[in-house]
Amino acid sequence: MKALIISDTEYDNEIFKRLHSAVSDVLKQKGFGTEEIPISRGMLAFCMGCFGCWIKTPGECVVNDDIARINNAVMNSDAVVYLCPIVFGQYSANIKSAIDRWLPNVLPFFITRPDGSTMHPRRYESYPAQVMIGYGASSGDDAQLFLDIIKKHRSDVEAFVYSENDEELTSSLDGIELKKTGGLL
Amino acid sequence: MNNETKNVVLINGSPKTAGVSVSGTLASVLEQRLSSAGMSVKNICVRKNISADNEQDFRSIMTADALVLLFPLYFYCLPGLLIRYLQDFYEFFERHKGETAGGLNIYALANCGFPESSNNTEALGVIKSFSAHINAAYRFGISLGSGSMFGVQGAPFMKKPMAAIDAAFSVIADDVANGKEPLGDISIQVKMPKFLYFLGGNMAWNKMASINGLKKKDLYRKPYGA
Repeated sequence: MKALIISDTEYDNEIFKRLHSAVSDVLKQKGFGTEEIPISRGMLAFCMGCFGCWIKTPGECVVNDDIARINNAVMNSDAVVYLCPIVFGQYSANIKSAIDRWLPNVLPFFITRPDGSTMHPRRYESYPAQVMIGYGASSGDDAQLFLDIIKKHRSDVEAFVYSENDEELTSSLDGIELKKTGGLL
Repeated sequence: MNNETKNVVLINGSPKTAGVSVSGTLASVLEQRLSSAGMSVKNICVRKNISADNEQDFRSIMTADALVLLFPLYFYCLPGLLIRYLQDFYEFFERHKGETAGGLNIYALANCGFPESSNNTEALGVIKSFSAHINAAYRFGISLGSGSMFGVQGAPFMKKPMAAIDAAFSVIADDVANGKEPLGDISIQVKMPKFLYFLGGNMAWNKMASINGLKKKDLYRKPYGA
């Protein structure tokens, strides 16, 4: 089984080190081989909202940088864990670059989900389990906002905030099926 | 009423490098509105400045009376480009925060491609959090659904939404000049049958793909083979 850990080198602080170590231990215990993708400033171009990934080179970003390797690794992993610094209640810039440019992995059209909200359909039959673990929030409000951004809108992603409690982290990861899924996005 | 000229900074947070963006278009409209009210307006395009030395612009933000951020919704929050700009600004702010009197009022306009403007709620929350971090006052945000239609001249169903934007921009102008009472976020949606919006969107994607030499089936490619 293959797991991917995506992280932000600009927030490589003590809490990150502790979180990363705990996540790595859990994945190892579960029998995952792990690939690391640390994202540094300038490594990824920012999404330019051109929709080329839908109408020019469907499924691939038109900007040929590391995102091709990252998206390929994401779609061919069983589980992807994003270690997300929480900045003003959302993902940091480096993590957000990777998330924005994940867009090629969906189709351009609109569908209506069971709850009435609009979403894009899947491009692929199955997706890896995606887990976003926030850390470093400067307030409870920021931590909650990070969770709301994900949980209120995305069916395909699990999210929680690391509060430097490794037992809690292990329990949270144990509660997630870390395998490919075919559910709604 | 304070008769000093108000200094307003607009931040166009659209990541587009080509073509017209909704955020850019509306930033220009707002600039005209505020200028005609006698305010001094600086209009910053983040995409054009992302690799620049932004210290002068950051200083303008710190000494402004008001800041308005206009941006598209990307994955339910701010685009990476804009959060990068705000992270960099925050570092500047932390180094220089004792140098200004404060009193900055912040407004935001978020637009999303989905019909439901409620998708922007958390993005406006990010701006609220940013405001708190720099000791500024988040006054209110404007949330647009069906955002792509706001950039199209003469698009159907747009008379009322554009009038609503105009009214919301007047509220910003009044608030910058006089505001004291807290205000709530303003939501603007296009009253158009959803199936029609979806149909129009699907036709547009297929047409654009065709212009690029693609067949309909090409849109469904799976390059990562999962």
